[in-house]
Amino acid sequence: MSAGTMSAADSAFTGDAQSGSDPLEGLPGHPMMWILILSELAVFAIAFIGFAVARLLNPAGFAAGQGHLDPTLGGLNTIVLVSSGALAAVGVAAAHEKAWRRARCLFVTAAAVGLLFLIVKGTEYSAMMDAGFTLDSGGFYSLYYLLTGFHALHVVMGMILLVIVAFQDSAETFETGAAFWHMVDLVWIVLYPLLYLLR
Amino acid sequence: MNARTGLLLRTWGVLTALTLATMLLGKAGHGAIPGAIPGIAGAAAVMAITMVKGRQILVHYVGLHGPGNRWRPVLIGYLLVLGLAILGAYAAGLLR
Repeated sequence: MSAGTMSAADSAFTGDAQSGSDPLEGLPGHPMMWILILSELAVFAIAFIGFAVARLLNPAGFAAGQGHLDPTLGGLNTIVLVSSGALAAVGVAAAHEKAWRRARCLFVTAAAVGLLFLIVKGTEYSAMMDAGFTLDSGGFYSLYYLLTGFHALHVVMGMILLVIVAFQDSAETFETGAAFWHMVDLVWIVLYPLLYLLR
Repeated sequence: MNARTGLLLRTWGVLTALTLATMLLGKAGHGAIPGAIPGIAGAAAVMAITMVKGRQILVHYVGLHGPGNRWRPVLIGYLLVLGLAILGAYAAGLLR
């Protein structure tokens, strides 16, 4: 967050930023986005611990459910998201150089790569549903669809955000969009081993 | 290519390599004879790699690399606590 680029509303929000006691100092992008990101991280943490405890209570049921997931698809989606995250991060670097056209292209490409994540996830959902495993098929499946569906919703929101901020000539705005996208990436980094690898 | 872009591309390479490593560890774990120690060791290795990947994202992608950035230890701490809680629940399941 750059104090030099803050609007009056930003300064009012951060209050004592000028005195050096801004609690969100050091986080790139708009502070309101970080309020959202920190809240989302807390929600995902509770959901992940909930999943881990539910598996502890029903290890056989969860092992059977996890046996129907393809770890290769989960790994492929991890590579897709970290690749998209790299494009967004390079886009932020371009925005800092005021290379707006390059930054814009990188952000739109990052959003397009995000679409690939959703296609892979859709393929996995389709295979699971064809095999008869739906949201109502038991504890593991309910949590699987809720966790991955909630995350996929964040992917969709992140893609929309990346495209919106790509057309603003402001490095802080690019940072704000990228921060949300990296949060989506970070959450998947933990969700992948939790669902697919720890059996 | 400037230094920042070079660093980000190296980070992407590290994240991709670590993801492939966890995929291999996951495959090896599924073929192993069921048992608490190999299971916990494999899970600990997977979660350790996950923590390294998370740190790479926070420090290099998000950009929390400045000296004295007070949010870096907070967010890495978040990852560590979450990873340990998941690993603890997994280990408890194996040892039951």
